Amino acid sequence: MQTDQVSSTISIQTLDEIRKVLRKTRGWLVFLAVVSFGSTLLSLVSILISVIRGSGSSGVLDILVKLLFAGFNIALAVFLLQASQSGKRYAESGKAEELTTYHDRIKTYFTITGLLVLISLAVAVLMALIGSGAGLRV
Amino acid sequence: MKETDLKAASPQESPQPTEPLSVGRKGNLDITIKGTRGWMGFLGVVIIISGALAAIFSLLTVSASVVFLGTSPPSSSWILIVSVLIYTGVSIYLGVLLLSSSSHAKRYLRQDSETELLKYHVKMHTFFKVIGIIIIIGLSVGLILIMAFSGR
Repeated sequence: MQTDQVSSTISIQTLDEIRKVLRKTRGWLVFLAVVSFGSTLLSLVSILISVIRGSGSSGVLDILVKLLFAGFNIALAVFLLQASQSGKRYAESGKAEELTTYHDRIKTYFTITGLLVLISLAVAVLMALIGSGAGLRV
Repeated sequence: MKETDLKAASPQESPQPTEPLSVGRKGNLDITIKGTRGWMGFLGVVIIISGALAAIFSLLTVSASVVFLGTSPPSSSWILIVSVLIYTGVSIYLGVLLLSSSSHAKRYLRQDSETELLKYHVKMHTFFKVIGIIIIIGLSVGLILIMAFSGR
């Protein structure tokens, strides 16, 4: 147990270099999160306007899908912000716990992004199949 | 980004001493990085393919008018080609960054190399920086276009 507490498996010099990198990365993470929040807010406003106007082009399913993607975008932005905060804390304090938290958040961010891409690809293929099927019948 | 740039940072910027990484924490870190690198590789491949497909379809669209209609492509086609080529270039660069980050993570996990761990972080930093710069350029271009068209 004592050995686990004291021994460093990665040299302090490398960890110092990683601290420097994270200090530079965190600013960009915050910027990306803010942009993501802003764009989601704009898309939510456009959804709200289309609902108030009652434009017939956007159905209930369309609005639900847009809301779902807005929710995922907000979640991604939150994970980016959390990663940036952990990165900042690690750069300032050098606590090992913050480094693992930073990597946890980054992993969640990439996992959600990857899943969203997979779902989008699956939906696109499905739509193409349905579209080509309908085209063949006509 | 060069590693020398990172080493050039002054030591005063990190006043607190760096806490050593225990075996348990390193194990957790390795598991997390292992989980991240798979998705990074997948996203890298998807981004590269989307860029390549965009280039192929835009070239096909423009060449179709030349082949089937026998007319020279309109000037708007050149704008389309240039913008799609820029998109393709950026996509391939971002995809390569993700793939390279993923391969550094893989080598770190296999060889337990600290240099690879540092390179993994540097590549990830470059990836987020490039996306940020692209967003800044996109917002600036959008703002200029809005100002140009609102002035008419």
